[in-house]
Amino acid sequence: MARPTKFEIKDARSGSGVTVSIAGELDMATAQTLSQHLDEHLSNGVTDLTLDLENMAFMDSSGLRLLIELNDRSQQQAWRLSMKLPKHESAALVLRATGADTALPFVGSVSG
Amino acid sequence: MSSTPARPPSREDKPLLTLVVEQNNSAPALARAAISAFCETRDVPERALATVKLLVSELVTNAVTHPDLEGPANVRLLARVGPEVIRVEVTDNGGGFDPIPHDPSRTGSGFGLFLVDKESVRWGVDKIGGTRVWFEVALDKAIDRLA
Repeated sequence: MARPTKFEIKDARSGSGVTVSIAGELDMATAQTLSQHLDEHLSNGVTDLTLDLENMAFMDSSGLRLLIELNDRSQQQAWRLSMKLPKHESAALVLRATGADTALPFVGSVSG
Repeated sequence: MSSTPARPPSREDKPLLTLVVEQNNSAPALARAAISAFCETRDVPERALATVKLLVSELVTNAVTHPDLEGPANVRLLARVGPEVIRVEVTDNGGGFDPIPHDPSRTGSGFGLFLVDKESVRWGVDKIGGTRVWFEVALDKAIDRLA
């Protein structure tokens, strides 16, 4: 039987900035894990958060909801959020279908 | 994984997948793994598979998020590959949920059926004790334009 892809979070921190890279599938189960992980960074003085979704294998609207909430929080509070688009279709589809790929602060290849 | 025909296959019913998963937060991942494995052995194109995986995940998530108040329950997944579309049914035996595809809003609710409505060729909801939501995704991109 096929197993769900392993969910992995990797951090690269420099000063008050951190890049969090996601691998695996972001859904209702793993979004909770990621949310808690990001909360820890934000309560530990991170003011510049980059979410690298490039190698994420899958995302559904549970993951999207987390990204929307983060974006709202970054605007209400004093920290900066940017994200890198996923390259896999199974992760990019939910962003494209909802227009979140343009509504959320994704850094494109055209403009940073 | 159970992958046996529920009844003798007819000409239209090609391969069939049936899966029952417990209503908990690992159900979406299990359902996606099963539907992926099913599609990969049946030449479902990559793009259709991505759509099917997303919609299955949304519907199973809905079923898990709106559980039967009577206690633990199951989610049933059924998939069939036809000549032009893959048809998937997700059934819960619980209280069901509001079958209206809301616009995605900042409240974040209702993305699931919005996506089903947007990315499928056809879809519908039946009340059969529980709630059954079905959808069809075109195997060939050209069919999207005819729908």
